[in-house]
Amino acid sequence: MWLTRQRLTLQKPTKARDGASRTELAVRKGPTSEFSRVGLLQGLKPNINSAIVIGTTKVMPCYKAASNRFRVSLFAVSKVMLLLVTFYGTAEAVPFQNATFASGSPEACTPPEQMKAQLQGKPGAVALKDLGVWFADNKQYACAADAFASSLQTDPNQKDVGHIAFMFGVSLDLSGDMKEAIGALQEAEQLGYRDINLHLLLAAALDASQAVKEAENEWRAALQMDPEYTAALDALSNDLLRDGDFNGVIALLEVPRLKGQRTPLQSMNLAAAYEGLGKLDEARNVLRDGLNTASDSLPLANELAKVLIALNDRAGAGTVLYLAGVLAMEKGALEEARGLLDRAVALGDNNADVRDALAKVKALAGK
Amino acid sequence: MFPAFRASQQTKYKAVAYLTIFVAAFLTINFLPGHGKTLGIERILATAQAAQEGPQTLLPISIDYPENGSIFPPGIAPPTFLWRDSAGTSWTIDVAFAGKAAAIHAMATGEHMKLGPIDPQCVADSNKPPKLTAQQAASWAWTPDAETWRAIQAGSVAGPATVAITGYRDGHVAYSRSSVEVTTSKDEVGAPIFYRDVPLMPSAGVNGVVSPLAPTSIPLIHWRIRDIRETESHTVLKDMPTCGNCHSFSADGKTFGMDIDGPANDKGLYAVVPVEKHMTIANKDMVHWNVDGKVGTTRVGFMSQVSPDGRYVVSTFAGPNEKLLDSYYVTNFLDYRFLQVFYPTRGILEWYSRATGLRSPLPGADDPHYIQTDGVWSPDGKYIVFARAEAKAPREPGQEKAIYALDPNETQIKYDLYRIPFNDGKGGLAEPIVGASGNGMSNNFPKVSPDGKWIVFVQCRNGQLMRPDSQLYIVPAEGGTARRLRANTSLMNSWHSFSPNGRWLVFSSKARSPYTQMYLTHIDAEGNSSPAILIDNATAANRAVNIPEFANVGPSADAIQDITVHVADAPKADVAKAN
Repeated sequence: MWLTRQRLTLQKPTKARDGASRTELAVRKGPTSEFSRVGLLQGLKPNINSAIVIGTTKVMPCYKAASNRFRVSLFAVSKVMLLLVTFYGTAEAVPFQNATFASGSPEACTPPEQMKAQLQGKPGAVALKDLGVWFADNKQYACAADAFASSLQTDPNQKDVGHIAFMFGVSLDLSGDMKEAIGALQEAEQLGYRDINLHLLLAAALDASQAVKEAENEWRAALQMDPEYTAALDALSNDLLRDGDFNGVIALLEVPRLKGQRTPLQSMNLAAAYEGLGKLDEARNVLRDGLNTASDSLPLANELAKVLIALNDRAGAGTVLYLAGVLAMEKGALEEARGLLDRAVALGDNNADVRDALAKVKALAGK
Repeated sequence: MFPAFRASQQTKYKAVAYLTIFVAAFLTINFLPGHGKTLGIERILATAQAAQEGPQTLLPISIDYPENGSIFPPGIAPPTFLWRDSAGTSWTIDVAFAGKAAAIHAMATGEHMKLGPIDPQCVADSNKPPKLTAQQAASWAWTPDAETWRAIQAGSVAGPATVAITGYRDGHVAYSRSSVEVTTSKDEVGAPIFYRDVPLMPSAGVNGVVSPLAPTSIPLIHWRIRDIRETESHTVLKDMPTCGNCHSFSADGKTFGMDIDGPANDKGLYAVVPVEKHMTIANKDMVHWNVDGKVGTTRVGFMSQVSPDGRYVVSTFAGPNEKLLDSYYVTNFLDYRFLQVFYPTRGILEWYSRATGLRSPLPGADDPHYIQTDGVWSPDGKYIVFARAEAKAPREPGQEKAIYALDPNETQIKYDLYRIPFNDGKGGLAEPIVGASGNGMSNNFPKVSPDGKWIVFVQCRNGQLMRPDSQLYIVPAEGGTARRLRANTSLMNSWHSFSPNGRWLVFSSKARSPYTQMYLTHIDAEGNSSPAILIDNATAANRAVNIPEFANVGPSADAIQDITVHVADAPKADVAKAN
């Protein structure tokens, strides 16, 4: 029987002499490995539609990796502890090189040779944390999660507990255990760990778990740290739109800083919010400006044409559809191009360029 | 509803359009000078054909720069027009004037916006190379040649010129069009801009403490000067062994002052020298703030201002009983975009007499219960405008450290603007300036216009200096309703300075790039400002421009060629501030 990983309840970090929390000191102290430096502290930028890149490793976002999910249980943690105690704690009698243990994952968790000394005897929290970092660096995320969990359980008051809880959560997330990852990341948050990546990961996981309101809070927390973070703006506007909070979408995206900078999705969402409020002129303006930035976006062109038709600007819609049709043709999407050009003609846009383009599409399709 | 009528009308319109184009072509070819002649008869015919065959509706182009209503200073170097257009693949630019000046027609070759060259010395692990934003990457650019720009400027003084950009496909069919109106002011800028040019290279020391710039990189800080009529600036000072901060010129342009961090970064030196073509700062020119313990041992660290006549300097000091570290809040970040938060939380205004070499508290602005800072002189030297807030410790015990600019964990402080008579150093009653106080925001960094009529100041949510949300406001000098300047850009607006005639304001912004750039805006007699005009090519694309200050030395930047520092005991290692 699989058991749920024990939710860690850890004490708040104590304050250092200069007033900074221990968590901050850990951050300030800087990275301990490639994993923490590149992956966790700086480079982790989940993208809604693409894989997350950590260091040089490309992995799927947690919610896309659901099919690969495997659960890491308390049983597994206990097993790690047991194995560690067995192999390193009891002693000397068991040579390190024989130490290979299994987590709840299909992969074997084999500690590295170079950490042998650290793991001799009863391994301390720091050694376990370092082990977790090593596993993570080597893309053994389930093993890393187990090692971090062991570290946290060994010493819940250790210096950089928030950071370790974060790494624990990230490892769970990357190993596909989203539900447990959410708990661990929330724990890291409560422990005072502060990093935009924490909010981004948590928000993405919460969104994937349909906890939209909680996800929105996390996206907002991320945007407070970086108001232009594209993935957060995309996702939060999605969530708000899903809630029917049109004014919320407008408040989020209709800001001077984003004018001309919106992604096609943001432009679509903002326009949809205006449309939801019956403000078609504003929707048109947003879509036009968005299309001028992302001229190859067929969804934007389609939406703009739709709004223009609703505004009785059939000629404008025809022109937009013609241009989109040409673009689709250039991309080789001949069926789509033909559909767009047919619609342009149906709207009365029947100038020579449109006729030529339609004939060209038909000819290409005929081949 | 009336298809026959509509068809008939359309035919008529097309006929009229056809005729109009031929007439226009005839006039263009035969009567208009310059660029009008570039239109060949084949092109006219093609355009006329397009009138019949093109789309019925032209799509709008997004013209990003210059903004509609922009006012350019006379003689400024040609700007680069920027627009985004999903429809066109080539463009024409048509400039029509309100007066009798001949229209101008030019063609854009379809070049995208480009970044300028970078300074390889300023590349670091802690910063990123400048990169075009999505908007900028999608932008098309056109820079008029000098002759065309002169013609546009000449024709747009009496009234605005309309610059229409038309996008074509296949070279002849118009698909998109938009226009903006721009004006050239009669008001000259009349003075060069002196500014600091810094790398953005935050550095974490071995102990993890972040500094805005590694000590070894301090010599990369440059001071430059720019005549806006020129296309580039020249460097007047570099390779300083210590960090120089705020500089100021007296209103008469004869005296120059600069805060210098000094030994052990105690902010203890101030240089005051006459303005000359070849300036030298030597030991004799240095004021050592920290030798006179009677009025406090430390200066807080910025915004010393030379009086209009050059006789005095007003600055912020910690006061008799405070230590430097207890008087200002500072946090540095490894994020090069906004790498430092810095503002004083305790301090008083003191004035220094160059004649006597003494400095004294300014009564009325010397209350240790308040932080009194950012003092600036009125043009007649009779009063001082400054920022004030309740004094507080820079950090409370247990206070979480801010990890990014505008982090709620920053020490919260909201300044109000006050004015106080200087009264030959005797001071007086400090009075809040209505419109720049008690409004729930932090009002700071005041500058008084040379005619004494206006104060332009920064408003932000917390603290001061380099705030991402900082916006420029204008308020009557005696107080009144504050108005947000039209010139404000979308990200950080600060470090402003009036031109000697008061008609232009220069300021810094990160609107286009994390690497701060400087902009101009016109201020009319009623205090209205115009959209921001970029001063292009002020530095490398990966360096930041800050503290731009007009120097009243005549229009040419040649008035200050170079500044040499000969300070024998200048410290070799210091902690710099960069922005």
